Amino acid sequence: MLVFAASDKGGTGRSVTSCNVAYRLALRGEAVAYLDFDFGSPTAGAVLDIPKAERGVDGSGLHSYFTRHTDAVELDAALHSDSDALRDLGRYPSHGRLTLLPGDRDGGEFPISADMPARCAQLFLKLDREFDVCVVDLSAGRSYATDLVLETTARPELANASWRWLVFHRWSAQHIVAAHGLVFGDKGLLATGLRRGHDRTRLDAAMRFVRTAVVDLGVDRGAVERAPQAAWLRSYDQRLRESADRLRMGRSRLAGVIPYDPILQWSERVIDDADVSRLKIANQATVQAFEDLATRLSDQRFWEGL
Amino acid sequence: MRRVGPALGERTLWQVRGIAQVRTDPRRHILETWRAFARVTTDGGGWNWAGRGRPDSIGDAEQLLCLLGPAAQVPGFALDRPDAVDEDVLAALKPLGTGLDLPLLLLGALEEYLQRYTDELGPTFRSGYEAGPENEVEHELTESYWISVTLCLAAKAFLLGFKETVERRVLRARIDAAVTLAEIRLTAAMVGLLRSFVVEVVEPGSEAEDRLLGRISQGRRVGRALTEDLRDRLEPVRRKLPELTFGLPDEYEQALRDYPERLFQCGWTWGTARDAGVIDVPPADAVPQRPGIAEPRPMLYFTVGALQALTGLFSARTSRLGLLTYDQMALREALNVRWGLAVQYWSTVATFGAGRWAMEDVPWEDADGVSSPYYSVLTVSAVSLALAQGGELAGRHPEDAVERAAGVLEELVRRGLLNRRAVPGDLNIELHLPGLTIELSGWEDDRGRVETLIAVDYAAVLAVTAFGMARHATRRPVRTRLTEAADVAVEHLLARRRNDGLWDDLAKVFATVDEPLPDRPYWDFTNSVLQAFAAAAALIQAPPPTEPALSDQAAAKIAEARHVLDRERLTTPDLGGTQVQRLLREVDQRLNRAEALLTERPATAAALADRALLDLDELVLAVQLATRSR
Repeated sequence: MLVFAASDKGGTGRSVTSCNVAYRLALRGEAVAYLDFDFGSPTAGAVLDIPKAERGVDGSGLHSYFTRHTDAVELDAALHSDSDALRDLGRYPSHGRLTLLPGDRDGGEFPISADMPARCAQLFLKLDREFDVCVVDLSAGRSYATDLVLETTARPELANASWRWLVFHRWSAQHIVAAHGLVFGDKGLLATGLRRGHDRTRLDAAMRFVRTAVVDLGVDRGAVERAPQAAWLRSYDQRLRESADRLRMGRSRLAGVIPYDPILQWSERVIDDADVSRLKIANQATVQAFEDLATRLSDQRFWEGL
Repeated sequence: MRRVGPALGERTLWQVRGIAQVRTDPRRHILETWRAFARVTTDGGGWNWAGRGRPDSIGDAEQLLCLLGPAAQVPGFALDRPDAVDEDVLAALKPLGTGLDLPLLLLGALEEYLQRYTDELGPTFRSGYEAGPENEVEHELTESYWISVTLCLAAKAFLLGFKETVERRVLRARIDAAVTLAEIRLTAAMVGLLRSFVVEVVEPGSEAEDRLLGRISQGRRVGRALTEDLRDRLEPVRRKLPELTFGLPDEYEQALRDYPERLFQCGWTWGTARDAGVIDVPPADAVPQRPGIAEPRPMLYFTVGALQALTGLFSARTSRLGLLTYDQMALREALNVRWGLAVQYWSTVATFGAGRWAMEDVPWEDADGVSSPYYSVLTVSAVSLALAQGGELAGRHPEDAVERAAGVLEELVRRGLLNRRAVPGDLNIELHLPGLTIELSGWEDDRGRVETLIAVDYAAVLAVTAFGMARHATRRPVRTRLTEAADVAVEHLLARRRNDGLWDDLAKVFATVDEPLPDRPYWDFTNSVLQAFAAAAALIQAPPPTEPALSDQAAAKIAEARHVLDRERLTTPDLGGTQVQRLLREVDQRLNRAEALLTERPATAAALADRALLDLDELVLAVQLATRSR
């Protein structure tokens, strides 16, 4: 299964959430590939704490795969990460592997040339055979990478592949409108996909949203100190939900809600259970949200939609 | 032997604390009931129809309305937009599935309902009341019509709302099909209500007239003058009745026109009337119009039930959401005229009398000669409907009517033993068990016995009526008496919950009751109780009674504060940003807010003005101290 992670704006927590979900899937025994398609600023290496790929790798990343036809290097997080949690993945046979396909250091965006979609399709097909889930982390906004992915998935080779889109946005009035534009707008994913030969219904049905850094009024009693503040948040939250619902981003298309957690605001990292239970530096609700999103990815009933 | 014990704490009704506060907490009660409902209704992820007794068009509709009723009436409980449903509501309904499953499950249940009660000719309204499988009931009850009106309106609103979210073509098609079926059923139900509306004109000097006069005067001797007075008061209704054409035989028109001195009654009988005509205008001609057998005599139970359900048909919400088709407008108009006349007729009769009004003579006697406090609740309910319409009470002062109604309802709380224990042999328990037996004259079984219907929801109807009447109370003490009566009824109802959280277990409040408890809840009773909660929510949402004296006082305070504020501004240097400037700005904002709240919430306005006055006085005093210091 291919999962494309997109967002309209930067700083939505797209990469950090995707990495954490990938980690959760690996914990459950799934083989997960993480493709850093954020060619302009590869960050997945940093989130997964792989020093070698902290800002991308030299000359063997995905950037080079497309522009210079080299092989794309695959880094097993269990071997290359400095994080205890990720290294532990290699220790227990019940865990799956989490493999990073990093971007290139100083890669930069590049326009799509004629042969790229075929090469991209080749890569996707190979990885889809080798891994249970491939998470493709796209850069913020509309980019060449997005176009490339849309073009590739429309190709006949991928007709039988299963792919879905997760669009990340913060829980604010402007981010909701922006994410809506990214998917449904005139130059949005659907419109672009249609021009590249996608079937509208299938593409439309593959679009889901993830709300990030949401203040959970039921959980974060500490974050909201005063009653008027809570009352305002509650009623504004209701308004946001109504507007999301109007914009076809309501519960039927809601793949996950990632609560606000200070640790993720300052440090983009993979949270493991020790951070919650032993070290107590992260919230249980955050881990639970990653778990739920990981479960949602293979929830047939949910992807059927309304 | 079972011990006789106190049911609810002994409390007297009229030691009212003078604060018009509703003790009933509708949000909590509805959530609790929904939680219990979800547990009982779910069956391995599906919808389990099994309620008490055989499934029939009324019971199944009531089960659906347990969810759709509050969803349509109470803010915060709508289920049509998956994303707008609150978390606590979802948590309560969890056994029925997630936020996405829920509307799909409801859609499925509605489809099943609409198809089950449709035969080759169209919608059916048969009821399984007291009927064994061997003798299939053939006749339709007015109750089935009105419950279908309520259900179809709620269902259509839900379906149209849900469709906005749905994108899959298959699902949209299913919703469209369900909407069409609901529309047809609504048409059939409206036609049914038109054909069960009856006018009874009685011969002067006949036994029938005597009976009618006796009923209207509630057993008191009525002199010629009073009879004349009653005729005068009913004249506006009588004059309009001949204009009704749909479904009524011509001879009524003739009789009403030619003999203006004759007394009459109008309202709904228990089913399609024996002499009901066929309505041949579209869209009525497209639904089955089976011949009726009901005796054409208005019955209070069916009249008030129809009147209440029909308010939903005429509501602003119904037109705002476009719940009626263009064709249905003609039927709506015809029903609206009947509604207005029946409300006027029954409220006139209820408020008739010199000194004591007819409704104050508890218990009220209905057409079949049976008296019951249940009927008294219904007459009060008719008066409440008249007040809601704009207070046309045949010259009666609305304030007076509300106050007398409060007295009647308090008496009815006592009659129903809602606030006290029952002693063995107390006949008033019969109001709840077996309930009020209503004869359906014209409908006899093989052995010539008249069929009956039993109304058991006395306490719930009383609560709904008291909450509804409280909305018309403009004076606080009267409103307090009404909410107190309603709250007592709700407390009684809450105490009657079965162990599964639904209704009804009368033995919980009356230890003398020794009936075996059925293993499933009664949906009709549960739905009635939910309506009481919805009525409480409506009261809480309505604006509070106005308090002109308090408004005046607050206005005076604001004026004084403004005066001081203006004076301070005159002497304070305009150096924006200083602490004094900031304080003056705050005071100004507070006073603006106070002015905005002056009529709606005068006490809050006064409190805001108080705070502004105190803040300002600190300034004034400080300046004074400075000038006095050496």
